[in-house]
Amino acid sequence: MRLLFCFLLTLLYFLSVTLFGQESSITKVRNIEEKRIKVIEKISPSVVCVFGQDQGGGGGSGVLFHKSGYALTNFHVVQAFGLNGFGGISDGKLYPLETLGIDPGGDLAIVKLSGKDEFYSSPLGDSNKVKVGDFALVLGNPFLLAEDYTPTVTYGIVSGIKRYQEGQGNLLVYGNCIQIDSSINPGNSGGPLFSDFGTVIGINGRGSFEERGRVNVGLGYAISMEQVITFIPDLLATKVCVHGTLNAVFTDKSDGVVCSKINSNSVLSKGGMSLGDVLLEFDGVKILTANQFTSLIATYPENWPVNIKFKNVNNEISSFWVRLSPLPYESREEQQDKKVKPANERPNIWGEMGKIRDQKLNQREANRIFKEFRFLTNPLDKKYKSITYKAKILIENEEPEEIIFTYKGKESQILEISNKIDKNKKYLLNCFAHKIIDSQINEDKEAFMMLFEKISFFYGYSLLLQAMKEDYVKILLLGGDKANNNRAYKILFSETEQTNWNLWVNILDKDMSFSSQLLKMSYSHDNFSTDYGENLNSFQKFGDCLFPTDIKLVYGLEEKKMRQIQISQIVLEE
Amino acid sequence: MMRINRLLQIYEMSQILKIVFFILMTVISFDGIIANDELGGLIVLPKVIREAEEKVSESIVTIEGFGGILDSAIKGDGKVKSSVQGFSKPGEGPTTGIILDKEGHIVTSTFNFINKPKIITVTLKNGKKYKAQLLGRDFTRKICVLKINLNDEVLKVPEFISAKNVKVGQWAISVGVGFGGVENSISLGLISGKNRIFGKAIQTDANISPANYGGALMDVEGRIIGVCTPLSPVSAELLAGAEWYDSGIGFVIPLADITDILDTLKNNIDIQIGKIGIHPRVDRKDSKIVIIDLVFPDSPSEKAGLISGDIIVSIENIKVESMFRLEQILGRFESGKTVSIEILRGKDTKTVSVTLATGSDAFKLEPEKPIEKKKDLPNE
Amino acid sequence: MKIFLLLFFLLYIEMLGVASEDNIFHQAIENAQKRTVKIYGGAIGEEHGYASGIIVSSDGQILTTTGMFLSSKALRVTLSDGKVYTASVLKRDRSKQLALLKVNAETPNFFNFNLSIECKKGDWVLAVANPFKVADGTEELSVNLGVISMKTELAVKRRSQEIDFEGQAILIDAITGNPGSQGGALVGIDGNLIGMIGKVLEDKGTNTRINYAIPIASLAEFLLQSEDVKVKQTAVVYLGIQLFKIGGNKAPAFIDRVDLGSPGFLAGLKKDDLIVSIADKKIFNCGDFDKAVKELEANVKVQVLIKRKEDFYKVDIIPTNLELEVEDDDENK
Repeated sequence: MRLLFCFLLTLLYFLSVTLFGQESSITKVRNIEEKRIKVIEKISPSVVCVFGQDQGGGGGSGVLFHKSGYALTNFHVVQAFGLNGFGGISDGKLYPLETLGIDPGGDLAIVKLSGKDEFYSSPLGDSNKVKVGDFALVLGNPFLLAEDYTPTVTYGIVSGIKRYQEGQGNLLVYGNCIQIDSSINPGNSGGPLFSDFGTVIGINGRGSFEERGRVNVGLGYAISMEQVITFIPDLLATKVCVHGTLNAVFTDKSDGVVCSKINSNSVLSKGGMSLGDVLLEFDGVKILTANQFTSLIATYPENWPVNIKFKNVNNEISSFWVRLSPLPYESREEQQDKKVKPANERPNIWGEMGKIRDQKLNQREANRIFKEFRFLTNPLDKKYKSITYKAKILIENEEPEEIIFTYKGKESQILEISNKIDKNKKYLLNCFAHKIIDSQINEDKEAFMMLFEKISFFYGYSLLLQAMKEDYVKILLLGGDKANNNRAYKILFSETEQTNWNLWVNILDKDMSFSSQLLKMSYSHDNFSTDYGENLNSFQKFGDCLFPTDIKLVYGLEEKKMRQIQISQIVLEE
Repeated sequence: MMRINRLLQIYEMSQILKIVFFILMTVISFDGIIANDELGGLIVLPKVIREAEEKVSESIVTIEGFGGILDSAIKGDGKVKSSVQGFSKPGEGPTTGIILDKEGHIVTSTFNFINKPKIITVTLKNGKKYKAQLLGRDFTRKICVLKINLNDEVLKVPEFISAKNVKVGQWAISVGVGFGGVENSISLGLISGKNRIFGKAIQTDANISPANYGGALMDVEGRIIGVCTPLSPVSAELLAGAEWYDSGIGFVIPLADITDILDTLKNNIDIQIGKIGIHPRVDRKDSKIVIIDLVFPDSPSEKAGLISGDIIVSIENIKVESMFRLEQILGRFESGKTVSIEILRGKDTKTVSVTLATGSDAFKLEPEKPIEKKKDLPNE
Repeated sequence: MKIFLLLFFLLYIEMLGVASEDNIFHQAIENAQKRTVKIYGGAIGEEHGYASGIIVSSDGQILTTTGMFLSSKALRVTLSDGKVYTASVLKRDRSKQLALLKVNAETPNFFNFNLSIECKKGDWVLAVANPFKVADGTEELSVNLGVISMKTELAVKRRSQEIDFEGQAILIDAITGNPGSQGGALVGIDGNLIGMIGKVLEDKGTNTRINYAIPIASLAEFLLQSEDVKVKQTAVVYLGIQLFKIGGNKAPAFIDRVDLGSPGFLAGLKKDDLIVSIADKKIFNCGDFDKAVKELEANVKVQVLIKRKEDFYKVDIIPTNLELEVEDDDENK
């Protein structure tokens, strides 16, 4: 009896919860609509209607991804008008825009809008998380329908991932791209592909068209955000991007993806890979088919450091690191036959392949990125008299060294360094000439280098901190690179005519927000740079500044650890 | 005895506690589902769509045209064309209309009458067929109104919703009878944009095609947002826009917001595209300056006193900074409407009122007299 | 008591499972990908047709549409694991537009036909196919999302030629009228097969490309057929005459339109002519006309008696051939 009672009671609770908890069907549907409407309201102001000088004769779309006015779009949209155009956004106004960098190989470009202190921007999303069947939200300006520059919204799903769409030779190639069935039409090019949450996961640029002419038939393609992020530094640097190649051909054979052709200048030979060897992994990705590899490598820029794992004819597996070679846009015949004039005789406004087009614009952007470094937790005008570091230097198989270093500009001093060097001596560092003022060390360049190597981090980092408060013009954004396991901006910071520091600054944090965290530093003197650099980790706050407390001197593309510094204390003197 | 009772009590308590515990678990799980409302909402959407279709179905009618010529667009050169703008032939099949009121007015798209049929019939969902009379046509919106003579038929007038209450991103379902003429076909999409085509249309990515031109676009509750029609910002020809069928670009005219236009059409008056009768051009040195190149004789512009060489500064207080902008602004106005145009002549600005006329009235050419063209005013 | 505890526990676990899934399409897509294949006609290097197909048995039977690619000597199928097999045609039915292929492979993942489930207008559908042969080898087929637009008999054509299509079709609003999509799977969100995507065709009434699937009932019927169904004897000839069908099949056979350059045009027939007899068969209404036309032969002259205004005229008309199997070289560009 009790049992029955309990049962009925629970059943009653069950039903009431069901009825109480359930909303009507219409409400459920309206709730989804509301959610999507809100997302669209949030992201619409970041979508740009891109026009040329004619302000409406032709154009495409773009998306603002940074409040200072940077917007992503397609190269083929920008190609139509060149270096200057206009962008209309949902406030109904047109803003002048200038083209920074272009990537003809991957069909990307970055333009910068001006005329507002801060532009609405949309957050970037991780395209690696995208799955077939996920909803795909497209905003843009197909057929230039947006008279008031409010973007057109279309909705569908992700139809396929890691798709490959051939380009024209090495131009406009879409590798590892996202296929969607959300309607994309001429004019949508360059516009954003959003996830359901309003993050930009791709840039729309192509579609499959056939009999019906250039009208959507359910297949559109977007460049993955994964690829876009890799190219952001080069594009901001006003470069004409070049893609990477191994100068080798791979074919599917019974034992795997085999190297079937290898050019004499291929970097593969550096790692001992030869004809007939099987490609196992590329940049950490398992390679299963030749098509998969072709699609994947199309997303890489020249000079990018990659790890290649392969198996030779004796079934021995090995791996090596190389930088990708440049993939030319002209065929070899075109390059040789310079006598032949191109069909449309336009002066080349873009500059040379792989080079920075506009130094002035480049430096402007480099300064902006530099100022956003996370050196300071609070913006301060204070300039420090000195910064003193107390640290331990750890070298494998050797006893750790203790060091105290004080940065005082020209008169920096090594106050104390145990081991190898006389504890009681104070070594003054003349920063301008990079000579240690001490008669004994002065003449011995090698000894100096060894010593400087140990303190170069302290010196360099302090120098940058101080430079933050001055307007350093001698900064150049070299482009993109990989450092300390992250994709980074590579910046050249010139201390003097002869001495430069290479800085690698993180592009994005793990949560896809813009980072500006310093990842790595290296020092070069008299145009001589080495493969050495310092990876910076474990940032902590001392005073009102951030310092890395874990520094590793690394060597080579594989960033092999040579030495580690652990900072225990930092004292800032105002 | 007491002990046993005590024991029983404790036993009962623990049982009840267990039950409570599991009820709590159940509630939490349900919370999980409710939090994943998303899932539930998507799963019930088909049912919601069917209910919405049922609600509007009686208000959707089948229109058939009989006899008539196979003609190209308005050009009327007498030649029979087999294809216009890549679109092989205007549909010959039955088309769709929406009941506007109890008096028997039906709204549909002008696309359905390109063949200029001699006889037009309207079939209701109950199977009853009526002869229909074509009343006014709005060529700017490509819609027209029919009237059927009811006997004692009681028509189901649908619920119309204003564009003000429609939001970009909400679901929209197109309904038409173009496939076969009896049953409704539907397509699901979103509201893609508002104020399109010179501010006249709402844009959707649901399939819009001859299968539903003249038919309805409704929301998930079965309220009609607008009537489907082929539109294009580039050309006003009757067929223009039809080449975009099923492309994810489709337009509907919001009916709740054009009651005065519908009244005009019900009164058998046509609404034409308005023209001012000029040929504009862009200044060679600065593309932001739009100049009147030619003023057609007896045109609205000539009547208002405009001459060749005048720079168009603004229309209805909207700055004209490109050819695109000029077309955009003028495209909003119908023939018969008066707009204020501000021009710059030499150093003086002047504002005139121009009453737009139809294309044929605005662009009259006198065969013998050459058109006088004023030279550019010298640049100061 | 323990039973209730167990039940509640199971319920709880199940609900957690439901609650953690954040997308209603993923499972159905995954199921369909395993059971859909890529079909290629033409030897390597040749551009000669490609399509999609669905696996319907565990021993390698694959259902697809009829098409030029079937006549290829190098007909081959790529399964979801990327392996390629040569395929042979077991049977076909041109009026249903269906063909059954066989590959020499074990296919443990195949579609069952759940004929008891009825799909309704508005239901979500996922089209899993290979339009434009975007997917190659192990790459997954493309997925398009839509809803069921309506279920209907089709009145279709391919460009200017009328096509006879037997049976019902499921019209959908996802765009599947693309080269290569034909033969693909149309599934519901529960993973069940709803139909097979049809060929690229246009609706006669709207002159637009339609997106449709052949329902599983027709597929099942075809599978049970024992032999090929050859070309049906309907609408084999082309006259270029459209009748004025205001009253349906019982209306008198008045001509509404004569296509330019057609046999009817060349014979001198005009709009508003009333057809009285064809080859001595009396024509009382549109229905009679359709029946009579079915029995005509291409390139064989027939005498037609018509009434124009008040007079009767005799004309000779030579009907031309209407290809049922559409030869589309550029269908699969």
